[in-house]
Amino acid sequence: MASPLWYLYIIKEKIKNIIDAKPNKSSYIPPDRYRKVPPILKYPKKCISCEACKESCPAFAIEMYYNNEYKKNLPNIDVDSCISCANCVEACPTGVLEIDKHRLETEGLFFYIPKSHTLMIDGEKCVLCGQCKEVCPIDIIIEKPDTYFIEVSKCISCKECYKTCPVGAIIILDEKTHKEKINRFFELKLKKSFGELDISEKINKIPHISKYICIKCGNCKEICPGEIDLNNYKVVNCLYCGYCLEVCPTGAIRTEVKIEAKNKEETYYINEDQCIGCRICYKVCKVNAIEISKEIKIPYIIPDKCVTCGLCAKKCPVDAITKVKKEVAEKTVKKRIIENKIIEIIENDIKEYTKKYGLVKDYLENILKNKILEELKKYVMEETKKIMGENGDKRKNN
Amino acid sequence: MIKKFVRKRSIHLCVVNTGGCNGCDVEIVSCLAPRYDIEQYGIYVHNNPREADILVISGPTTLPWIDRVKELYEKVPEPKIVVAVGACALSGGIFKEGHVLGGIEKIIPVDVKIPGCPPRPSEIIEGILKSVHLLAEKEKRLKK
Repeated sequence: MASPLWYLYIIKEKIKNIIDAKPNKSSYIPPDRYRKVPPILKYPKKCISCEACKESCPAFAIEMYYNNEYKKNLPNIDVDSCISCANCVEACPTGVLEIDKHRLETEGLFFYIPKSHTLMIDGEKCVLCGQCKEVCPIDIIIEKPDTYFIEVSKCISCKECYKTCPVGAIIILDEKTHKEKINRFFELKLKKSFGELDISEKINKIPHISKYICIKCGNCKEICPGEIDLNNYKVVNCLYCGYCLEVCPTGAIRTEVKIEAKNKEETYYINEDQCIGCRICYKVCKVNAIEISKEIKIPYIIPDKCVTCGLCAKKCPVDAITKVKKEVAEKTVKKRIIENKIIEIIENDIKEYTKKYGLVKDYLENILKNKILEELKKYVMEETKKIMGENGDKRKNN
Repeated sequence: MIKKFVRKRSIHLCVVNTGGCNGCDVEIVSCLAPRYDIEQYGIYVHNNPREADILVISGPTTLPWIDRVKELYEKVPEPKIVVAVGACALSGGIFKEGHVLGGIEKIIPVDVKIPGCPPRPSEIIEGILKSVHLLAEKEKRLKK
């Protein structure tokens, strides 16, 4: 302690303190758990370009750009707008991003992944083809007996399933449309509370509620002048005003369901030479696009009804079903359709003919029976009268 | 040389909030408290643009604030430095979709950017201290 070097060191420090007017440097150094700005791309090789980080960012700081080195889209983080909330780090399914040690510390913990778009599957439109399940990068789509189901808490909203769905059964819940619907709802609610809501018939069908996409917000229940039971998804008393349709944010309440194909240029086609006539495709098809030819007893696909879900091709045991262009399929299938129609007309004619024949026959038989009965009665009456008359004469004579 | 030395140690701040959430302002206020104590570096907060050297701007610059900010910038005597504090002042931050300009850089030149939502008080002090040497340089340039 007493060495002159030590004193020199202390004097130097004190002079430094006076000149810099700074206390210990420790006040500058942030504590251990502090999240640095911004997150970094630690393992760009692992990135699958799912845009989960972009969806989860509340400050819109992340954008995807094509990277020449890795030959795929990589997230680019804007340093200025990043608020270092670490949502992107927690949302990333493959662990590409890192902010300090946050990813290692929170790995495996339950986390409701934030996103600006929510995806849901409309069970009434779903054709059970299972393409969404194959395409999902993180395997969170579950198969159920009557529909497929997305686990909303784990979904990263990459929209791969939305792009591949052949019938548009997957809907996107957007904050913007949600806001519009709620604004409309409050407008109508004000009118209703003042008693100015005009109730006239605008729709001609009672709407029904789809239980698969209803989020139970209760908008329709409050605006309805009749009665809606949300627990059992039923419209109890309808006045045909149509206000519930305008107010529903997900479109769960509706009058009719239309299953329409996105891909209108292609259809599936059954090769008649390969087909063994097992009719598995006929049972599996949910849109009733497959009919069985009455001439050769082999199924064929109607191109106008087919939604190109590919379920029949998957289930076919001999791979007789292939994807072709609509024009090619129409040429060969037209013959079968016309054939079927002619046979149907003939069958119908025969049925009606036999029906009419039977009716006429019955009618005639009835008339004949009645007539015979009447005549028999007349005959019997006359005979009895005769006998009675003879007897009476005899009595008079006696 | 003495002037340069002294100039580094007497700086006057003018803090302007252009319609943010006040988070950054709270952090700036905590710089004044004994824990960080911004006055030990010779920095004083006056909130008077006429006698300020550094304009500290936070917030996403809402539309009515655009003209005000330009006015304030003109009132500050030369040489002047602008320090943008927080994500909002840099790019609009979480208010990007609202009725905001998004980034103070679009209307006035910015010398120092301090990112973060909000930045720590130590970071704000670091940013301001790093900008101080610019004052002397700017003064030199003015004389020429």
